[in-house]
Amino acid sequence: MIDVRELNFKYPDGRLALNGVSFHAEAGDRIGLIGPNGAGKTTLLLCLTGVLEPPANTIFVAGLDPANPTHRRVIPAHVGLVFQNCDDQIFSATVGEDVAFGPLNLGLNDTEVRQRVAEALATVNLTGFEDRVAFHLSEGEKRRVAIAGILAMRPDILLLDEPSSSLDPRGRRGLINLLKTLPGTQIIASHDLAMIRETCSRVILMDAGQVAAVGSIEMLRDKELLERHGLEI
Amino acid sequence: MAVESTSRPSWLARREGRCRLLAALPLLMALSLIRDWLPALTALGLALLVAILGKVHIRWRGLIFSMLPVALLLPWTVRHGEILFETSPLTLTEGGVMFVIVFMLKTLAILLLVSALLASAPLPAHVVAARRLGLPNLFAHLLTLTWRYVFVLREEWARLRLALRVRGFRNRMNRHGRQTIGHVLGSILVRGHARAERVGQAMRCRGFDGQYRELAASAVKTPDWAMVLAAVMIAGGLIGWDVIR
Repeated sequence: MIDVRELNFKYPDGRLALNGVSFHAEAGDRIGLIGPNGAGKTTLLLCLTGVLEPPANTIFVAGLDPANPTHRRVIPAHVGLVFQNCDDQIFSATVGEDVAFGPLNLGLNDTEVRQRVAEALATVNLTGFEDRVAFHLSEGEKRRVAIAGILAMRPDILLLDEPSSSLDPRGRRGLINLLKTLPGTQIIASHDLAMIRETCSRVILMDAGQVAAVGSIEMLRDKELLERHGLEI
Repeated sequence: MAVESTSRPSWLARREGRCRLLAALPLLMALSLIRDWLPALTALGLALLVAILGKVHIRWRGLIFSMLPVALLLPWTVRHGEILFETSPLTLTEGGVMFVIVFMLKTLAILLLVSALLASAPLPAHVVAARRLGLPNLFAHLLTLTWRYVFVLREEWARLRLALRVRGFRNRMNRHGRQTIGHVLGSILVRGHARAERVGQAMRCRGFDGQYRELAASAVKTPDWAMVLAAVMIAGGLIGWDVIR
């Protein structure tokens, strides 16, 4: 489902953000991507979606190479990314329009788009929010709208960047419960190790653009390893 | 604001977006062309009716106060007809008084009509309607995004102001004050650019290829056409009446 081989990525300013990253994920895997700030988690997620262009033949998601322009155009139908800041993602005036944005770009007809919008909003418990003005929502609601916008595209792979940041405890609990029910492969980049423990089965620990460790969720019990990489549970 | 135009459910809000614009355009055009006070007064009455249909909340006191300076100054700028009052170098003429009356009636009517239009739907809905009537795609897109992110930038501005205040900053017109405000504005600009980058990334992640797509427009019903027809007839009637007088 996801195959990353010796991925290097350098930003235009010359900063090496990813250095020899390799990992593999099967369909249905729930992977927690953890690491300190600047570890390269967001860069990796952006490379997986093709927003940042990785070197050719270093990433394959759902059999597609994000370095290939033809493949890159169809990646949004397979891979969905929920951004850390919801205000970056929710740009339409109303919730309904925002959730419909992705399905419309997939070329679906109106009936199917409306059906997908209704289903996605129902999944995140926001039925009836279609006409609500997007910037009047709470942070928790915005987060759920952002997830609905991705779910409406029915991707095989769901990537979430710091999904629990800026959520209050109730919003965070709601999000965890929601993530547990969502189908497909998930990669969740977060500092919230307690949430990772509840929602994921595997963990990839990144530091300084490299994969420092890969293992089962039991890896989060290794206090020394976590502290060595600026994390704690 | 003197006229609050937050969108709320109303008879006007239920009309189709394109028809709302098509009805507003001839009325606004007619209002700008009227020169006589009686058609202008009638137009104001009609605009008031539209504002009531659109459930526009009018704060009369604020409205009158905001128009008062213009109403007091404008009559002295037109010299036409019988002199009513003269004190060097100011002259108040009958033409000047009539000019300001017509001007105020027209301004008020236009303000009420535009407010009723804006109150009938959120701004992006009007932009979508305008796009369906031929507004260029890029322009429509820019308008929608501007409307959305102006609120986010306003929040950032408020946060930065608060951050300055808790650190004891008081805005005074000295070098330090101007420098600080300059830094804050620069910071907002840089943040705005970074946000624009991220918004672009988020849009591409959802398959955006530069072509803005939207759900099909709702069907135009008989009351929508009737509204456009009535607006065209009223606009024509007002202009005709004005020409005859």
